[in-house]
Amino acid sequence: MVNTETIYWHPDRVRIYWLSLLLILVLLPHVVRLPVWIILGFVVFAYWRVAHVVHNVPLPSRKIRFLFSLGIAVGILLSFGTVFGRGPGTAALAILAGMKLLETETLRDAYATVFLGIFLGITNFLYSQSIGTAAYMIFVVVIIVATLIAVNNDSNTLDIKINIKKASKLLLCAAPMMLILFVLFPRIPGPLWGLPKDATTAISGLSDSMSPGTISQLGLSPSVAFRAKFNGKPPPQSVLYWRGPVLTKLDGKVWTSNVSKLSKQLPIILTRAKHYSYTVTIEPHDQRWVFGLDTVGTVPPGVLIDQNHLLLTEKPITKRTNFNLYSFPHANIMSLSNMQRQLTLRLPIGNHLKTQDLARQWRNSATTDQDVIDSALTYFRTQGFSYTLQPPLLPGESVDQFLFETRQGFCEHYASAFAVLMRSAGIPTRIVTGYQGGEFNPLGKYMIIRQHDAHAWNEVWLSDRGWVRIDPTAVVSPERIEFGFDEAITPETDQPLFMFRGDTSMAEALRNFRLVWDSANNIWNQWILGYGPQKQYNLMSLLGINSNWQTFLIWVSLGILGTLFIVGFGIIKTWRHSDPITSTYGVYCRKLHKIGLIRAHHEGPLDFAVRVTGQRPDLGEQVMNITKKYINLRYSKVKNSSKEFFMAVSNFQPSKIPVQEKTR
Amino acid sequence: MTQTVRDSTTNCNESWLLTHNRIYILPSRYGLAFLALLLVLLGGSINYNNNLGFILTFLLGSLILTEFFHVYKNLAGLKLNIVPGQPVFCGETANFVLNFDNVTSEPRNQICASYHDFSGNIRHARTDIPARSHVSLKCQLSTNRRGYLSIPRVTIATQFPLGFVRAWSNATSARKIVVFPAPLGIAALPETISQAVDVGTQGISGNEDFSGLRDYIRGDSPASIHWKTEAKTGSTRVKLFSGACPPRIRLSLAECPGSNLETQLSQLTLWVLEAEKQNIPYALSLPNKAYETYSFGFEHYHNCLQDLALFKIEHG
Repeated sequence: MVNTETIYWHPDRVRIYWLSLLLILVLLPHVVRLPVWIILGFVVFAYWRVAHVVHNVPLPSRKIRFLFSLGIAVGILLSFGTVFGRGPGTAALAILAGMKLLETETLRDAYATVFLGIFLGITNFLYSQSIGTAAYMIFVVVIIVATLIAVNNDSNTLDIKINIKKASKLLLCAAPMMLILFVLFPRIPGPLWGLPKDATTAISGLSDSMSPGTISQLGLSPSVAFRAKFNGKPPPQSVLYWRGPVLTKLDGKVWTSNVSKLSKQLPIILTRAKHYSYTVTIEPHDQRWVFGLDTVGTVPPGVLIDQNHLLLTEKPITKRTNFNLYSFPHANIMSLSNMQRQLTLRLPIGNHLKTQDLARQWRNSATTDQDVIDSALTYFRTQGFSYTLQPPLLPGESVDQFLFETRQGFCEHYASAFAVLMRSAGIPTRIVTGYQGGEFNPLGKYMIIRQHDAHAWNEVWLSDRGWVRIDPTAVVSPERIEFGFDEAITPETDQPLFMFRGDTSMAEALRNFRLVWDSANNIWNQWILGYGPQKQYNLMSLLGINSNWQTFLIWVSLGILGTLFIVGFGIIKTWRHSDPITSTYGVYCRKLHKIGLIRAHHEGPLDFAVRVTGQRPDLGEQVMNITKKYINLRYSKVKNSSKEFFMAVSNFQPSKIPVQEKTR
Repeated sequence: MTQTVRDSTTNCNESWLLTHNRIYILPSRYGLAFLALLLVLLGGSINYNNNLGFILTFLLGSLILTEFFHVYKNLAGLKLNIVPGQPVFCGETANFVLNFDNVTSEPRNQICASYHDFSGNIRHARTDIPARSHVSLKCQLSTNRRGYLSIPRVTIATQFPLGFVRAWSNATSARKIVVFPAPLGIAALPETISQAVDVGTQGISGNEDFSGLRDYIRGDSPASIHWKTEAKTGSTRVKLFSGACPPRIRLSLAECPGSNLETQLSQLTLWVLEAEKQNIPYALSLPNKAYETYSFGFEHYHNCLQDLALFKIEHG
């Protein structure tokens, strides 16, 4: 017997533990992103609360809590300079969640704390949407649901294991519905309102300027710049030049790109022989560049092309985006305006005098432009130049120093020096930056182009052939072009730690693992993260429900409701058919109920049968038979077949008027 | 007390099977707050074009959608009946019992029963009901006047597991609890009538000296039963005591002191208690009562109290 009393919700130890665990788990990935004082503040608040439930340490008064809030607001303003945006928003949420935990007194507070936790959890996705983050968040969601169960129920009734099991079960029931919503929920291209400035993480990659000699060590990031999936066989490494910003202006030591007119029209290109069609999936880099294989022969919708043949989107790419392109690897660009000619011949006055002298010597002894180019390449090949990622600094006249003194450098040095040489000899030349090569993933049949594949090369204008690509780095280090970045690094001096190079089987296994992992990532990116309005539209077209948005909405609603009912029926039916024997006995009782013989609540089956027999002797035999079978099935240790029982009940058809009475 | 009290309503068997046509389901206020949170998360996911944000939002949304079924399942198929408790004196706490019968193989968690007290206070009780078992909840009601006390409408609700959705069902019992008047007034009994002239053949006996045994008559005090013969022979005999002619009391409303009816009834109740305590045969005289038997013992005592409780109160 349980007595009634008013139920008081109490923030007991178990509930506080659950709430603390939840908040710690959602905050864990944020630890490196938030200011230290936020983390410390949270830890102090959470520890204080736990100390309160364990050792009865008094909680802060309302006044002190108000002072805390004031301090937090000032602290966030001082740390971030603003209260808007992803960073300060997350920081404020984190410390407020700690405060809420500290002052949780009622059920309402507890729910508010869980809600803050959920909000904090989802902010993790603003920083990372990787497979690892997703896996971690699945675990966190289980804890969130388990916390809700602990908060909502008398804690003595559920222990941790049961709680987690129950939470997992609830989530499994919710999963099919989630999947349907994810696929069918109408997607609209965002953003709804302006994104804060810090919405995307700064991504290191190419830049639109370069100054060889000022960096002594090139940052080598294996992070993915973009992926390319070719329809058919991918082209050989030697033609894999992915075009990025084109640098034309040399100002002192710094190469920059000029602002050029954008159009949707493709400039004239020569030789449309072999072409490749492919899809590039560009990782967000916060720039407008679309990296296409030289020479791009199409301008996809929503993309523009500039006079240097660079593809540009209208807005910076802040999310992973696909572009369908095709290219002619052996084609040259045939357009050169007068303005461009002037621009690509210009050199800063009074700089690089030695270099200019050398170029003029070559010019005088040459008959064609091609001869000058050959002289330069021969110079690089024969004069002891070497490829290194750790070149000496060039503090003075950088190109002169490089060509005549240090003779060590990477692509930027060669491209820069070559451009100065050519321009001095009167040949229009520009520097093209971008990526060269890529790693083919045989599993997913696509190329991975990483940040360390960044490259710079030259294009010279030859009046009969148009813009011709010259890669002076290839002369110095042919492996760089033939086999890609990994092969060009000499193991003794240049091999960074994260490179898996060498012939050992261990290295091979690691390399394979990297490919498998990237393949998984690619599928994840394409199908989970890349699922958007366009993919949804394609899917709906595949199902034939794309005629208009009304039919689409009808189908979406039907799909969602249908799933809900299937899932709901699955949840409910478990008890309905849980025990056929009890339910069959219920059928028997209902049959008797209909003729006015109602089983009392306290009446056992046998008592009931005796009473029925007393009132209706004509039914006695059947009633006793059914009851005995039921009792046997229910309580006897010997397991009898339940078939006879079912048969007896279904054959039992009691009449309203006793049969014998009629005959009497 | 071991004997059950029967009033006219106890015999009918009131029970409810909670099924879909009795169960109401709506989101709780935490559920509504949660939905508001989900809307914010959805807006954020659209704005940041964050697919994992979508997935988390949809997962939590599906959680609340499927919770409707979980909550329903937690309540549906449960059997309930209400049993009113023993009569009480006004001012005491009356009881009724909620019997839950879970015939299914699913345990029921956090079933909350709530009802309004006559003063408007809500009382709750919460319990788990394991699979294939009974749980009884003893519910209390405060009393402030004599007569019939209706059992209030009981709401059976559950918010298990997450508290975002509430399913409930109401059970209104027609049964009543009898509330006796509060025993108040002068404890001293009114003067006894020592003449035995108009006593019937009942042989009301004194209690001075043991003088023999006679057959049991309904209404005899259990204290006077000679249990030894009962055990030996199986026939119930009552001890007889010789002495002065036994005193008797006639408790009459008309002769009862008191400013109004209620105080008079309270006074009479107190005297009935006192007479019963002292084993003095008593008779209750009320204007609408046709019989006046002198007796004591549980049955007589209870009949008198019930008459007092229901005096001038409409039945039902």
